[in-house]
Amino acid sequence: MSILTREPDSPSVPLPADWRDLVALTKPRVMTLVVFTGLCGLLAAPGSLSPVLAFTAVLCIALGAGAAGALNQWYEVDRDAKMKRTATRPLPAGRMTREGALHFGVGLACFSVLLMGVATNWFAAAILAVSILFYVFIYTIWLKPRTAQNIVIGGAAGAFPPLIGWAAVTGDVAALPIALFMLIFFWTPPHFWALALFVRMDYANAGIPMLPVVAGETVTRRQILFYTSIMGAAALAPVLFQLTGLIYGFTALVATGIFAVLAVQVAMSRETDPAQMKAERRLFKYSVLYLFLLFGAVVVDHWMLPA
Amino acid sequence: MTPEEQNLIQARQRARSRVTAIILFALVILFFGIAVAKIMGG
Repeated sequence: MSILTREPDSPSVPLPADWRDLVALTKPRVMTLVVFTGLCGLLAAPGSLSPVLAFTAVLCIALGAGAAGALNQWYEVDRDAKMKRTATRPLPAGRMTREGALHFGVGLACFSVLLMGVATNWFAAAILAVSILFYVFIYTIWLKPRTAQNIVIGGAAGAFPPLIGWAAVTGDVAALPIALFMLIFFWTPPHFWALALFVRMDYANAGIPMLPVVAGETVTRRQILFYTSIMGAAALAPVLFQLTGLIYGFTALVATGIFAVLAVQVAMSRETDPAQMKAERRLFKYSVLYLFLLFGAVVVDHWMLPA
Repeated sequence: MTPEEQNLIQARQRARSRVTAIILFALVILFFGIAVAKIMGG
């Protein structure tokens, strides 16, 4: 793998990429939520998996997410260079070659899928492969630069981990992991659009047709509220269909209520200055906590009230 | 190439070699663990 590059501040000397840049290429912060939801899917599944194999399954989910992140950065280097939020990433900053990032991403993707197949089962490995391919080809290459609905459909890529975790244990999928998939799927639009509202100019400069850029802030605020209502229904579905117990039900009710209040605040806000968008920032931060709370509750419920 | 640039390259190469060694060692342990878990699980 060639990962020699020329840094802007020392153009005469080809430098080997720093290992920290390879780590940064995997988007470790995004990976946290992916790993957590995958782990919860694994822990909530009926049956048992040896701790070593369970650790390996979660590791494969993390590596697969990292590979998808690396390939996303490989493809989007020109767009990342135009956005303040992403301009310091290893590729746009010139700390690594595109070829090196591509090799790293493809290698990591193949390794994670093969290891998942060998350690757990090939059904879980297949879902992991689909999630990586979906993120790279459907979301990054096809949808993201073309439509304002990019994160609505593309949100499916981030919704796969609970299915993978569950399948690693059972070898199939059931109603609960599908409900958790739907929860993340409908959670994605309000989460990303809250962010897109206060970094709208960044997306506009990079030519990415995010909803606030192409349809305006008012439409985006209304859409956040609309998808929050569907997400709320998806969040309560597991307890209504008796897939989980009351611990999850109570957590989902309270946490979704808070989410709805924050979404209403965003919908009613008329703030146009990104620096003053407190309601939008609050919703974005809370949305991350929300997913942690609900998935944590699924696991606690499973342990407290085993079927 | 100046001595500073040479030192920087060597420092990065050393750091990457160390990280590679740690990852390879961790993989050896992991594959051993997977093999044992598979054998024990029938």
